[in-house]
Amino acid sequence: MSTPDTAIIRIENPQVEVENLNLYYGSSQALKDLTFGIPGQQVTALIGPSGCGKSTLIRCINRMNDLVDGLRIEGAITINGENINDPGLDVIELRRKVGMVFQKWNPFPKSIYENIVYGLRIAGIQDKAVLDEAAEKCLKRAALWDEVKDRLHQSAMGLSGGQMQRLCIARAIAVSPEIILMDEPCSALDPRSTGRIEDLIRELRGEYTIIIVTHNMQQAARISDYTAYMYLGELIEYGPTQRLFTMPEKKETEDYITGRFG
Amino acid sequence: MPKLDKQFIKKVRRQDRFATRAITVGGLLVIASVIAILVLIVRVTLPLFQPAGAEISHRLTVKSGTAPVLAVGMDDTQEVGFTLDTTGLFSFYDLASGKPFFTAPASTRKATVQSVESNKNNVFALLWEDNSVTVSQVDFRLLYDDSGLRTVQPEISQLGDYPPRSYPAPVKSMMVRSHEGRLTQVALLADNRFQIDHEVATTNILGDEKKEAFSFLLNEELPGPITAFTLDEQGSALFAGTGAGSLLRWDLGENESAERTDNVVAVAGDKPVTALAMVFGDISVAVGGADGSLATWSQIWTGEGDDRVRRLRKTHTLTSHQAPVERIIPSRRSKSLVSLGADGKTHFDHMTSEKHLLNLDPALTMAGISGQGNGLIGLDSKNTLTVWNVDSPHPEISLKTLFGKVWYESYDKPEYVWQSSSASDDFEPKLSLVPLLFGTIKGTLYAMIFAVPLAIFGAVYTSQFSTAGFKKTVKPVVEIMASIPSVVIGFLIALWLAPIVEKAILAVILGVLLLPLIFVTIMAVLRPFYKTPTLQNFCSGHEFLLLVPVIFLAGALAMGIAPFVEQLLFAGDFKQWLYNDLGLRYDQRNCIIIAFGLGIAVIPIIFSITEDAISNIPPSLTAASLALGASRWQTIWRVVLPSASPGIFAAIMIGFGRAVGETMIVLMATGNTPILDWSIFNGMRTLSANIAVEP
Amino acid sequence: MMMHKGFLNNVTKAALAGCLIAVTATTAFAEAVTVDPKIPAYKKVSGVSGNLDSIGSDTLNNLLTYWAEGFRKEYPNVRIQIEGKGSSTAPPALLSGTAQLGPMSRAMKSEEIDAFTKKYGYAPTRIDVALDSLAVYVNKDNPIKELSLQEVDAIFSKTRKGGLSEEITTWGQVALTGPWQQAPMSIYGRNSASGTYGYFKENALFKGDFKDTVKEQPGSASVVMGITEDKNGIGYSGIGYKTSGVKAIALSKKKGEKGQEASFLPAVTTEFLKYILSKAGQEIVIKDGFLPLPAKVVEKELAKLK
Repeated sequence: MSTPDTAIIRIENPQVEVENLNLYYGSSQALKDLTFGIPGQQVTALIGPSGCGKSTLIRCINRMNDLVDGLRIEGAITINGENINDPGLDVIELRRKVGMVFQKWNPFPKSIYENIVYGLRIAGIQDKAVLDEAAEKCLKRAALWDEVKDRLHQSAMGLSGGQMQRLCIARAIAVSPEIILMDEPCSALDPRSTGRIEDLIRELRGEYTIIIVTHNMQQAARISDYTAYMYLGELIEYGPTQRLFTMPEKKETEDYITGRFG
Repeated sequence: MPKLDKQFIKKVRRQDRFATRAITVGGLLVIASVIAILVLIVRVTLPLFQPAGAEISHRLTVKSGTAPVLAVGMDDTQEVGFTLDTTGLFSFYDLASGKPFFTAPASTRKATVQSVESNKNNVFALLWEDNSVTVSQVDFRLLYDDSGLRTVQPEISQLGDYPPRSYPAPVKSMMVRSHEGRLTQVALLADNRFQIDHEVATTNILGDEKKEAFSFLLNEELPGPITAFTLDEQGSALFAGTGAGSLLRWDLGENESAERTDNVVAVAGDKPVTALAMVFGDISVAVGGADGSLATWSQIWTGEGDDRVRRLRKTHTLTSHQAPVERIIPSRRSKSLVSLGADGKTHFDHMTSEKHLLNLDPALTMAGISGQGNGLIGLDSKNTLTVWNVDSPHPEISLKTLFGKVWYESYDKPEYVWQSSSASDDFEPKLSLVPLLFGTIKGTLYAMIFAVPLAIFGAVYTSQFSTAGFKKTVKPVVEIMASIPSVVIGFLIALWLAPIVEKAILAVILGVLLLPLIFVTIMAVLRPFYKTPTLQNFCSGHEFLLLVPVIFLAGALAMGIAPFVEQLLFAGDFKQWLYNDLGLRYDQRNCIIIAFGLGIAVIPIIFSITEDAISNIPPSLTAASLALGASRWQTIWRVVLPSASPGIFAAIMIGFGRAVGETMIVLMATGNTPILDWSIFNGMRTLSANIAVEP
Repeated sequence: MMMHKGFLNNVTKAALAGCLIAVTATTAFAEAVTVDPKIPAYKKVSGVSGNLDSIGSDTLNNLLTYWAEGFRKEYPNVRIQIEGKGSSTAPPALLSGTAQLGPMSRAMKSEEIDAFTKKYGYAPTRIDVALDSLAVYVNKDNPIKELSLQEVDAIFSKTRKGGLSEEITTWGQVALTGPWQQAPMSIYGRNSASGTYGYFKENALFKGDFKDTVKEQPGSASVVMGITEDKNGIGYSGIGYKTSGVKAIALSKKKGEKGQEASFLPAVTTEFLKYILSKAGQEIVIKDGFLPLPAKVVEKELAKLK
């Protein structure tokens, strides 16, 4: 199936550029010849039915797929002009630049404070003042400070699901990444908590490049600047969110967003 | 919605109720069984620490008109008691009815006994007025009639009859011993001297028997009048106590003369020694003083080098009387002593444990212990015979003998010793649990030092670094290792590995030292190539293969240089050097071997449980850490291991339990030596192996 | 010189006591050992069948197995089970009734006899079945030729009741030179459940205590194997366990006691014991490396079974 150029817009000066990306699990191909750019300091949403390769794609951006056996990648992903699949590239540095928030909150079984400063500690920062300041700043940024400031040193496992997810976002922010990948961060949350996370994403916009995978089209519509629709490993349509949701160029996209398919 | 079948719902409910009840009953049964086991253990061990008890089983009055009684005794079944009076007459009483039923004279010719001495159960040496001696034995025969009814029939037999010898002064008392053809008579004379007579029978090659007699006086200056004396079973050591509290010992081993070996103050404050008796086994002598003190003394090695000699030392102090000790009667079955005080108190003490077993009130003038040590017969001043049934099954057990240092007979100093049995009756059991506990801890500790890092790091590597395929092979293989019977491991390491390690001990030690060195060197050499795709690809999941050449290299190098190192540093023999310069004895069956053996048994368990614990860490946690820019090692160290720590702890504990309880490996591959020594080059005796190796 | 030890076997419901005499001080291995021709051949009787359980000495284990084999050739209907874990396991087995025979390589202690008598009302019967020499072994490469009993005591015992003032820990102390001079001894022995342990303690250690460094092995063969593999090894075990890997240093010591009265035994047990005391039984004794009983002793022992 050939894709007309107009369905996938070109981004000027993208921060993340995907070029002819093919990804195989053994013999089956999961991503098919993806080429698009993601703008910096904007929120980009990836939507599509289950199994379309959205998650696989964002996991390529911080090379979390490295650990998967039998996975093969062709093509290139460049961040700020640097190919991240270059064997000489330091994965650890890459991941400090590209933070990630997972579908299911996954705080460490440690205190709230230790969760936040984990990224700093592993980077070798020992100074307590620096850590304290970072913890406060990040928790405030994640709008969690008021709720947890009195129990920073209690286990993070005692928080509610929404709080834990915000803690994970705060933890990701703590290492000052440029890009934050979010893999369906609200799929396991109630609407109220989802609302708070969305507020947070809106706040972070402009400071970080956010790439969010979501099943919830309203959510994509509410928070993202750009939306990409993927289907069976292919990028079907990619453009500014408003245009994609109001005037999709492709029939498949329209079917999907109107609920006739998916 | 289809309507649910009511019958079906009923069935489900019924099954639910049944399951609930079954689980409740099962759970309660488990709890009850555990409690029952605990109760059983307590019931089995509690009697060990129960205080001794004594019950009066019989009481009767000696028939009137009897001459003064010199000795009392009874049979082993505690059915018949007897007295020996100054006319040399044994009178037997049926204890149950209190009736006298039989009398027999020790000698038909003589009638006045001056003194009586007994050094064996129911054997009495009677010194007659004319200085002759008769040794009589009281025997009890058990007779069964047709209906199976048992009667005890006493019998008097004469073991010896010795004519009077010539004495320069009147004889106060006398002791007679006959041992391996030598008769020894020691007489205390009224002028405070001892006369010693030996009669030695020798047989020459032609079978002619020849008798030689020796007689001499101990003409020594003595520190005060002799107030008590005793002689050992063989007639080779004479002990005497004086009015000034001195304890003297002479060696009577030579026929012609006696050598005084000891002169010590046994009773303080110039108070006299009032009673002496050999403790069963003839090694220690019990000394009672006028101050009521009761102690045992025995000869121990003192001095250095060629001057080392055996000298009397006080080894145990027993509970004191309030009044002078009048008489000490040793048990003929254990190291227990009965002592009579002038105030009428009777004490029952055990020497080794220093336990004060019993304190009886009636004012006894005479006492005897039954052959099995479980009965006490005593005569008081009102001529009443009382028999106690003594219940003291484990007098030698106390917290002190189990866990403290005890001064055993013939030992130079108090020690922790485990040596529980012997073929002879007069053996003093040495039951210190300390060497066994120590051995258990020592063996387990060395095994854990060897096994825990290997197993845990192996598990971490397998679950976090290696490929899935590798893990699939390694885990079952290691788990199969756990099924190797420990007898097989024990046999192999004792008879195959131990001699090899002994021959190549230096190479083994060098190998252990060289391994990390060579590893670090190789890593340093490979450093520039870390980022190359070949090495990266090779390494992901197969890093362990890099270790193979390292191990071979270290092994080969260690073997190669060991002879030179041994020549250069250890004068050609490492084990000899250990022994000479460090005082460490290299034993073939040592902790290195045990660490290997127990390691083989324990590693699979720790490995498997640790691997499970680590694999159960949610991948999301590792992913979170990696996504924050942590390296794999940081992730393992900071996230995986802390999260898996309860599981790892459980793994170590289960491994620890296996190592502590492991019996066959330790039994076969150590010498079961109950030593207190941390040296890795010798063995140990563990509690579990001890249970298997003891009767 | 060598140390001779009486070997005995105790018997059933009415079994055991005491130790047999042997005062031979010659090296008996040099000459071929033969059974005393005066020992009568075994005469088969009819109607013998049943089970026979034997629990006790490890030292006598092989011997009993051979006897059982020979006996079963005569009486195929007899089933014999033999278990050898140490002499001290014999009295409890007799007591609990799990065995009718309790082979022991030492005399019963009075405590053990008491327990038996208390339970059954009569004393156990002791039957002497063979003579054993207890030997002190060293590694075959060890040049040592002789040891006095006092030296043996100072090597094995920490109480040294033999009379030597210093304990012996290196081979130099027993006059070996060269590389042996400084070499420490590595001592092996039996576990305390064995009669050999008790016998050695009573006679070679003069009732003293073993050193803690004596490696207690669970079987006589393990002692010999340990010494075979250990150049500096020294240990004691029955002469029947001698192999080419070890060298026996023999010592002399006499010791004796008398046996006791007999009483009633079931037929199968009596016949088995008669078989043991027959020519065939005593030939097996030689085959297993022990020394046969003199005819006089056999006569005396047989008398107990009448």
